[in-house]
Amino acid sequence: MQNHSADSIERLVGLLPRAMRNQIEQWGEAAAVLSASRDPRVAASLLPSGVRGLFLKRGKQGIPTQMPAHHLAHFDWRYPSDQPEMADLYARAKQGQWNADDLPWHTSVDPLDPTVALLPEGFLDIEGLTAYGVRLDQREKIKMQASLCAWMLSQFLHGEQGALFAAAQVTEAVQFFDGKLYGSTQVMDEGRHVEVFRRYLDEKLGRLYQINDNLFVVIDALMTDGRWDMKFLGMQIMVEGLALGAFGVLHRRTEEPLLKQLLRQVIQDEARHVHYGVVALREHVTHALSERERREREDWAFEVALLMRDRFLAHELYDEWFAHRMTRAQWREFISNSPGMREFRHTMFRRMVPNLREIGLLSDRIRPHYEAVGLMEYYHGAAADKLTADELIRELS
Amino acid sequence: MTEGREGWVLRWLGRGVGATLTQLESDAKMLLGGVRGEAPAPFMQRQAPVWGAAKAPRSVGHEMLQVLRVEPAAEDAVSLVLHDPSGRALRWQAGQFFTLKVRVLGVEHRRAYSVSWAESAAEPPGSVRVTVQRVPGGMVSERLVRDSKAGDWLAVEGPAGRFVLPDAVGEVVLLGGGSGVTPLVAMAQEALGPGRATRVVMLLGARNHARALHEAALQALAAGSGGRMVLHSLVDQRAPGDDAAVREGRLDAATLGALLDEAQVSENARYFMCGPEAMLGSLRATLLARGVSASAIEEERFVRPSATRQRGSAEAQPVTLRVLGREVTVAQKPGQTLLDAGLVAGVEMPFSCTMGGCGACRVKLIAGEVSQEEPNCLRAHERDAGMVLACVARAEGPVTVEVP
Ligand code: FES
Ligand SMILES: [Fe+2]
Ligand SMILES: [Fe+2]
Repeated sequence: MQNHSADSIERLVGLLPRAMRNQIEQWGEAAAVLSASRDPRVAASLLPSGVRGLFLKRGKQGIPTQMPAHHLAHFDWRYPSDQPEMADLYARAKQGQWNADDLPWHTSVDPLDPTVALLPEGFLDIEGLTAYGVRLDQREKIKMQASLCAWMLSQFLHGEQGALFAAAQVTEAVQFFDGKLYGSTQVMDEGRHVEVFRRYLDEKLGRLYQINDNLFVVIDALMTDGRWDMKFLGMQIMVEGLALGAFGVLHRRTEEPLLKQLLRQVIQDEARHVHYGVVALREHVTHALSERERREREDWAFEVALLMRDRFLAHELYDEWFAHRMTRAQWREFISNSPGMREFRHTMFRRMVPNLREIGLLSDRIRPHYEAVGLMEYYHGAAADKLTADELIRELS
Repeated sequence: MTEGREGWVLRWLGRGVGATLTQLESDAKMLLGGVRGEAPAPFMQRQAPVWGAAKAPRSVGHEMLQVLRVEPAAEDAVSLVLHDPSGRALRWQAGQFFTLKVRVLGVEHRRAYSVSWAESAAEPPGSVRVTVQRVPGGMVSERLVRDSKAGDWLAVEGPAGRFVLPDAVGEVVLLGGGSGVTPLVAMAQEALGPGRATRVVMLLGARNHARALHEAALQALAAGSGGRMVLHSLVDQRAPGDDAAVREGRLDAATLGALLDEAQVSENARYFMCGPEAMLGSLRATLLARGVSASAIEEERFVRPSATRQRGSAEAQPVTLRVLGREVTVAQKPGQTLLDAGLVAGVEMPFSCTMGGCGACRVKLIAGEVSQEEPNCLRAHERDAGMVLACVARAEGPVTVEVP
C-alpha cells in the first residue's frame, strides 16, 4: 500500500516541469540528510542549522547572514604558562608568517588554456557522462573543469571565512592561555587565507560560486554552538581536515603555477592549525569531559564526517551545467565516483581519522560504524601532532 | 501534540530567526522561489574577464546568402565571399564549415565547405569566404567553380563543426593537404589574430604549385607574423615554371618528423589536420609514433556522401525514439535515415549538416542494429559509447535510440 502511494507520488513528480522536479528532489535530499543521524541528540543539534542551510539556503540569499554566538569569552588575569606544546606552536607560527603580496600575482591565468590546466584531464571522468546521455565537446570539457576548479576554490574561500570567525571565537573561549596566544596567529593566518583565495578568484578566475548548502550547515552548526570544544572539533578537526584534503589534492593536480604556490603556503599554515586542534582537544576530551559528553562528540564527529563524505558534491555545478540534462541522483552518482573526488575523499580521511583517534573520539564503541562505512583503513595513520609541515608538503609532491 | 511539535521547531528556528525582518523576508523569498522551481544563481561574476566572452555559443541558421565576389584561390578553385545583404554580420569560429545547398538538374545537393578566413580577417567584416576546389567528376564543385558570379543567391546552413581552435592554446600545428587546407587558413589567421599569442606551425601538401590553395596569402601571413608562424608547403612535383621557393616532397613519416623537429614543436602543442582520408591516417600514425597523445590531435575528414551512400533495410522498420524520458515509435521508410523518419513524424531531433559532418544529430543506440555512412565525424569514444549519427544512420531492423 505504502509502496503504491510512493510510486504514484513519484509519477506525479515526474510530470512536473524539470526545474520544479529538481527542487523537490533537493528537498527530499535535505530531509534525508537531516533524518540520517542515528543519535537524537546529534540530530537535534544539527537540525536548526540544517533547516537554515538546506531549506532556507541562507548562504545563497545574496544578503549577509547573522549567526548568533553563545560561547563565553574566557578571561584569565593571571596569564599562566599552561601549555608548553601550544607555546611552541605559537613561536613557530610567528616565524611562519608570510605576506600574501609576495606571491607571483603577475602570473597570467587563463582558465580555458588546456596547456596550463587548472585541473588535469581525467580529474572528472567526463566521458563517463555519456552514460547519462550528456556529451560535452572539447571546449565545454575545459570549461567544465575550470568551473569545478572555481567551485572548489570558492568553497575554500567560504570555509576560510568560517575558519576566520571560528578561530576568533575559539581564541576567546579556550581555557589555555598559551592557546589564546597561539589562536591569535591562527586568526591572522585565516585572514590571509581569505585574502589569497578571494584575490585569486577575483583577479584570475573571475567568478565566485555560492556556498555549498552542506558546508553552510557545518559552519552554522559550529558557530551557533555555545560549547567551545564543539567549535574546535568542527573547525580544527573536521573543516580543516576537509580543507587539508582538498588543498592537497588541488596542489598535487593543478598545473597552474600561481595556484600551486598559493596552496603550498596555505597548507603550511593549516598543518599548524590541525596540530593545535589535536593538542587542545586531546587534553580536553581525556581530562575534562564526562563519558556522556565524550560520546556525544564522538557521534557528532561521525555524522559530520559522513555529511562531508556524501554531501559535498558540487551541486552548484550541477545547477549550472546539468540541471536540465540529468537528475540530481545521477549527478551524485557521477561526481562521487569521479577520480578527483575519490582522491579528495581519500586524502581527507587519511588526515582526519588518525586525528579523531588521537583526540579520543574513535573508541571501540564507534569503530564498527567507521568500519561499516569503510573508513577504518585510515585508522593507523599519523595524527597531525606527529606530522610536521615539511612532511605534509613532501607527501604532496 | 501536533502543537507541541510545532512549537519545538519554532523554538529551534527562533535561534536564527530571532534575527531581522530582512532575513525573514529573504527566507520567505527563497522558499517561494523553491516552490516555483527557481534555483539561486550558482555563481557571481567577479572582476576578471568572462570566460571565452568573445565566443558566445552560436546558433545554427538556415538562410539565403548572396555572393559578393568570386576570387581565384588556385588553378582549379575559387573562393566565394558570401554576405547577408541586409547588413547583418555572419559569425563562425575558425575551422567551422557551412553547408551549401545547390540545385543541379532539379535535384538539391548539399556540400560542406569550410570557411577559409577568420572572423578577424574577413573583408568586408561579417562576410564569409568559402573555398571550393573542383573535384574530378563532382557535379556540385564543377557548377560552383565554373558558374559562380557576384549577385548569385545560395541556400546556406551553418556554421557547424567541432573542428575549432581551443580558446587558449600555446602552440598549434596545422597539417593538411588538398582542399583540407581551407579550414587551416582560417585557423592560422585566428591563431595569429588579436588577443592571442599562439605559435603556428603549418605543414601543407599539394599535388603541384598551381593547385596549392591560398598559397600566396599564406606566405604573406607567415612573413608578417613576426616569427610566430612557420610555414612549409610541399608539392608532389615541381613544374618547370615554379620559383625556387617551391619545395618538392610529401608529408610522409620521415619528412613530417624532420619538419616538426626543425620547427622545434613543443610538447604541449595541439595538432589539427584536415585532408584526404589516406593522408590523415598516415599523419596520425606518425604523430602517435612520435609520442603525441591522441587527445592532442583533432582531425576533420571531408566526406563525399555520394561515395558511401547506403540503402539500409529495404522494408519499413520501427524506430523507437526516446526523447525527454518519453518514447515515440515511428516508421523508417526504405531509404530514410533515422533523422528523416523522426522529423517526418514530427519528433524534434537536433541536426545541422545532415551529412555526417557536424555531430549535431548524435543519438545513442539502445537496442537494434543500424548501418551508417562512413567515414563520418563520430569520434572513437563516441562510437564506443554507442552513439550514432541519425542523419547518416539507417535501421536494419527494429531499433531504439535515445535523443539527448
Ligand atoms: S546533422 Fe551533422 S552529423 Fe548529422
Ligand atoms: Fe585556513
Ligand atoms: Fe585553518
